[in-house]
Amino acid sequence: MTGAHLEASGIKVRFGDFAALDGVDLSVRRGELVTLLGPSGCGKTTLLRVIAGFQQQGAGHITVGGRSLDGIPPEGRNFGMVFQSYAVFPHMSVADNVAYGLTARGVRGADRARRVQAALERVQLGALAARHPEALSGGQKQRVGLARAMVIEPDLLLMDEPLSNLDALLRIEMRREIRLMQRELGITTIYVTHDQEEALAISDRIAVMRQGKLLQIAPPEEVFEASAHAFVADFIGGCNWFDATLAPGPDGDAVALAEGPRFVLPRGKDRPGDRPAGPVRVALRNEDLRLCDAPGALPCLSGQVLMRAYMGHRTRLHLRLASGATMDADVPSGAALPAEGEVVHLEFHPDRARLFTREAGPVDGWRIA
Amino acid sequence: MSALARLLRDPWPLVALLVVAIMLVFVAWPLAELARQSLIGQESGRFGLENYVAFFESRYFRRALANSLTVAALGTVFALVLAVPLALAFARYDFRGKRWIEVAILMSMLSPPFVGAYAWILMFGRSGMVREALASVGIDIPPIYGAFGIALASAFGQYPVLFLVVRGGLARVNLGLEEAAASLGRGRLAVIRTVTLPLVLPALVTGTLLVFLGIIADFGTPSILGEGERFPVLATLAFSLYLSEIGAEPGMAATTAAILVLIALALVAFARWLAARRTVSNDTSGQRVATPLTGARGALMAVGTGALVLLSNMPLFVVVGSSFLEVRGVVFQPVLTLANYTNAFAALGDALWNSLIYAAIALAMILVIGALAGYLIARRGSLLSRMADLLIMVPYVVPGTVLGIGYASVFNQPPLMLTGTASIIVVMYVIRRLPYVARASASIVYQIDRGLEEASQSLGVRPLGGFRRVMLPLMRPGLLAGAAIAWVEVFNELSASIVLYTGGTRTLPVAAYQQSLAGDVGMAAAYATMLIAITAGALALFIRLRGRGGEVGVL
Ligand SMILES: Nc1ncnc2c1ncn2[C@@H]1O[C@H](COP(=O)(O)OP(=O)(O)OP(=O)(O)O)[C@@H](O)[C@H]1O
Ligand SMILES: [Mg+2]
Repeated sequence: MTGAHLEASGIKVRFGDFAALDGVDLSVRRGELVTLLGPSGCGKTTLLRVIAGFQQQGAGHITVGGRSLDGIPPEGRNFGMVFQSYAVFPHMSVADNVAYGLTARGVRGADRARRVQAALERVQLGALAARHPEALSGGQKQRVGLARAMVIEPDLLLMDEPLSNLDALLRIEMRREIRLMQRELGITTIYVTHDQEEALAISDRIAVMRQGKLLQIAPPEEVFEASAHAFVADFIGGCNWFDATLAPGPDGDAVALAEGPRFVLPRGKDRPGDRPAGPVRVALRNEDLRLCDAPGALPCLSGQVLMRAYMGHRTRLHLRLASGATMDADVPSGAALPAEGEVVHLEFHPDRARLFTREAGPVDGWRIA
Repeated sequence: MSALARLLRDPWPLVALLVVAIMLVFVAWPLAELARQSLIGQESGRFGLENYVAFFESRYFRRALANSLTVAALGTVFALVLAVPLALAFARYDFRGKRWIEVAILMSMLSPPFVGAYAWILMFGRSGMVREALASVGIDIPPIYGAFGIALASAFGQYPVLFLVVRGGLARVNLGLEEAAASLGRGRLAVIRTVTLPLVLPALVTGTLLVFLGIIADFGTPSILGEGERFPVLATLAFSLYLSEIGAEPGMAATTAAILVLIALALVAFARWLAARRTVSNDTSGQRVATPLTGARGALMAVGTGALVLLSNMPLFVVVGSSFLEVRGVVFQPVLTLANYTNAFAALGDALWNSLIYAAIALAMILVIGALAGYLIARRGSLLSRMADLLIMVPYVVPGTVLGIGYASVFNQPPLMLTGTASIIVVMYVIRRLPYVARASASIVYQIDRGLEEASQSLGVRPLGGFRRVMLPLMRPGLLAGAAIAWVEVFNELSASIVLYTGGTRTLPVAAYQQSLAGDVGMAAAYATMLIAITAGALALFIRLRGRGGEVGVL
């Protein structure tokens, strides 16, 4: 991977009074696969369409490979697109669909036929070249869409939720194929999804968006483990949230959860000191909590089990705490699980607690402390 | 990119501009001219409402207005009584012979309304065959002229439209909703009343509006069954005023025309208000499946609906049949002959040829403009395309007679000296029937995934190339269906042609109308049969052209 291939800066798009994109900066390296992840309506499709040229940005610039995209219409950009609706031309055979972009580039005859066949074989559709789309399954249609976008050797591949109309198993299979092919061909790709698991599995980096803004762009592990925003932590993986107060002390920052437990975070290299005193929110992932017999040295929460949900290796306990708030904890499945109605104690290591402070600004809300 | 380069890449704004310009010249201008003339006092020459006052002070004019409204209301009720039960039966049940009965329903759309009217006269007129037969066994019924006859003939002419619209609405009602209501313990009729009817109300309102507008705009039927001046309606009144005012200021004809348009506009506004007030967003997810009826119930359904449809096709049979009968005076004899055709061809002149040529040219233009305009309406939200949409739909509610009079009064002088030419008739055909094809084309485009065009563009093809290679092939079946309807309407057009034709540009419907009104009954039947045969033949061709998987669905 070399330097930035796509560089988008300050992209703004408004629909009437509504800011669909509110100053987005995105930079994608050559050969990289970046997913745009975020809840419905956050502007993922809009950003993709701005890059493709179907949506005019109100402000901001994009360059690809150093070349500015200003004034270049979609048909002049040489970007492949893969659509959620497949958008396979229904009146053309599979081969004609794939040949469409080659024809527009003046590729004819045997050369075209050879490249079409190669592209179809890469997506395992070599035998179906003469078929018409109405006789294809959803997965096969999307393979046609992929082959059609890849065959033109695009400078950038744009995919908008390409798998969300497929069933769960096929989705997993196809995303693996897409990833392998993307790596093999080294195609720089922007991939839109609102499925966090898909994003974690497929990406070099994930760009998490919310309300027209890009909150964090980082490799999957970092987005998951070191979420830069409360929203990111919550959107990826899900968290239990606790109100707490923070008071810097001589040994470190003392955190007191409104729910009861208190602990001290020693200063360290990844935990710079001098956090301002005041209210914070503490996030704990379900798997960060451990059942214990009684409160001990570690901070501990107590609650009544409302429901047990068996999930294979783990079982999710849905609990009500003393304050009346509810939370979830995922514990290893096994014989020693508490019964519904029982009161249990759950401890956690202070290192697992993530702190977020309130920050000014409408979008961020809470930011990592 | 320069403006020129941008237009070359994406010429749709230019297309929109052209369509708007055409519509301004051939729709807005004539109508504005009529409105202006209606506001110039016939007596004083002053600007004001003088003509409208004169209109409402005249007993005769008031009678024409009342007649129009009575006939339209009565005819609409008759059409509803015919069409709604049929639509319910067809949407909900499968039974033997259903397809044939459906074809028969569509067949009654093939002939112009005045042919139906003429057939009713042949059966129930002063010397009508059925009436005479009944009289000979001592049963005296009054002849069919007047309000009742016009309403009846109109209803039989118009009910297929209502049937199609309502059945389409029923087909879109989610089956699950009806099943849910039934599972909650409601009886069959209660389900229809509480769930089905409210959900098809928009379709019902649209269909009813179409029928009412169709009857009020119709010129041929009231002209033939109203015996000219004896039972005036607004459309025939406007025409005779126009004839009497030729050369003078056409103030009263313009006023009558304006009143017709105002009534139509008021109705459209009312229907829109009603639909907006009562429409619930329809969840159309469940596919409608018709329940098969077998055995006695199926047979009963087939016989019942079949009889109804057969009755509505009686005029067709009567006209076609009598065209092969010998005529003595004004009475058909039970002797087969081709004499009517020999006479008809001898007196035909250019009428048949004119009709074929004008209709064919008009159809080609309708297809091209309609396809482009439909795409504009569905895909481009620009101000120009919204204007084009609005202007294209105007002729939908403007009666042919009104448009004809408007054309005659603006295109009779430079810069556009068109009266008496074939062009004026072709243009009128195009403008009157464009709404159908533009609408059909827009509704297909709405159904085509936008992604297809974007895919084409991202693969390196310009917007216009994508339109040609992706959109047009997908729009073709729908366009041909729209063209089929347009053909029927254009080839049989009477109410504006009757105003605009001259000796050299007489068309087949005009010839048929003239013979039906005051000519040879045999020749009239022969002309009418020719109209029906050519219409049906062309329609069969369209259906074949639509090809694989083609259905008469949109028809
Ligand atoms: N043409 C438009 N006119 C007005 N608003 C629009 C338009 N297109 C998108 N929006 C709005 O902009 C916001 C962002 O839309 P966008 O389609 O980019 O969301 P998304 O992140 O792709 O969501 P999803 O996951 O549902 O696809 C939404 O609130 C949407 O309603
Ligand atoms: Mg989207």
